[in-house]
Amino acid sequence: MNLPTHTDGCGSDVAAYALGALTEDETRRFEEHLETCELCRADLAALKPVVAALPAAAEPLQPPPALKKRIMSVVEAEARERKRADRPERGGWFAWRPIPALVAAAALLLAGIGIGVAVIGGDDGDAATYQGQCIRGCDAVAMTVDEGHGTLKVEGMDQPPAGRVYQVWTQRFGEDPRPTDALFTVDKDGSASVDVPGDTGGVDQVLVTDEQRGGSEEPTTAPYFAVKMS
Amino acid sequence: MAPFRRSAQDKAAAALQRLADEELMDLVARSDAAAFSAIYDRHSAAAFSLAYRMVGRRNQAEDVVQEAFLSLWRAGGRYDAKRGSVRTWVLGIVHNRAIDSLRRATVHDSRRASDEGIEERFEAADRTDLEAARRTEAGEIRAALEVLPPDQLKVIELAYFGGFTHSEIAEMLNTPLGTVKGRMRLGLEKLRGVLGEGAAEAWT
Repeated sequence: MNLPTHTDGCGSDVAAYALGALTEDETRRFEEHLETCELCRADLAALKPVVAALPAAAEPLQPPPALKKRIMSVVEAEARERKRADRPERGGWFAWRPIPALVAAAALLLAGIGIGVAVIGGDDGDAATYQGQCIRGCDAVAMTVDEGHGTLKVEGMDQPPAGRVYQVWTQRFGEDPRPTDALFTVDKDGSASVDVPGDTGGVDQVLVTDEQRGGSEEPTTAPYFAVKMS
Repeated sequence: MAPFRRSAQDKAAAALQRLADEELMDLVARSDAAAFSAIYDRHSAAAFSLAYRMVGRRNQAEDVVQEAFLSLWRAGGRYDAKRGSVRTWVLGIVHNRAIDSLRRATVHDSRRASDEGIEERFEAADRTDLEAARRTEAGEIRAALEVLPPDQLKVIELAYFGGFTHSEIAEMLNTPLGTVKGRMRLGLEKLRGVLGEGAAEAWT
């Protein structure tokens, strides 16, 4: 079979394209052309198998085993990461139900490793800012308290799992977290600013979990972050 | 415990070995690292051979293979069996990455400054190709390439293995662009005839 002939000369780039011998710009233009030119598409389809045969002409070599190790360490880390990211959709971190005690335990753990109690600019009027600790799915979080009124600011936070919202919890020392009706999602940059209802007086820390729309009475997932205020 | 775990792992690896490439790619699309490892084992030698032939330096070839396989891992879901074999897909990615690497390198060194350097690279490659000819597939394609008139062979090698653009080749050989394009096309058509339609299909 002879390859089709191109009367308008458009076919002259097919071979160069198949060999990868066009510049980026030329490649883009040729691919646009391909969309509309059946002749060039047929031409290319005929030449592709020939080009696909060329690599076999290279001297056969074995890559060093260290290369596989390097690649697999990245791949395995990313596989673990993706599995972790998938989990909330399957019913929550650790798939644990209520168990506010676990949230409390997580909080104790955080306290135990000395996290979260940086007070910034506390002397500026009555406003105090507390840096929080991201546990998963966020980059930075801080809470500002002005005359007992708290505002949470988060950055770099993922969108909540489909059909879920973030819910703010307040926790007093030695008690289970209490629900608030502060429910939120984040904007496309992963940022949000959330008013924390109620007086923050006596609140030891503020936590955020993801919950069903409308919120929950008890946390059903592990916290994304905690801001400790004492 | 260790021996038990090993044998369980071996069994899992053996089960993966029996899967076709396309089935492994389904698993790779679902972030299965063991399936990816099996794909790597099957195609990394061909990938490394192509990368080394193109970039001519061991470290650079390793970087190309690493980039190519990681992009394959991250794009696993985009593999479409209707558009060709996994081998062809892998080598296509390696080829593109090697071209990127060569074209990037041009900014920093004078790879293209001397025609002599290029001749040397290709002569060296040709000598070692005797080993490739021991393998059937390599033998076939080498034999087919030898049938080509030297000027057609040269533009195909400079383009495909050298990563040069058609205009660069025209300049390098002091030949009009249209002639270079014509030789590429004639060369590929001739190869297609020599390999035969059936043979060429087997590579896809």
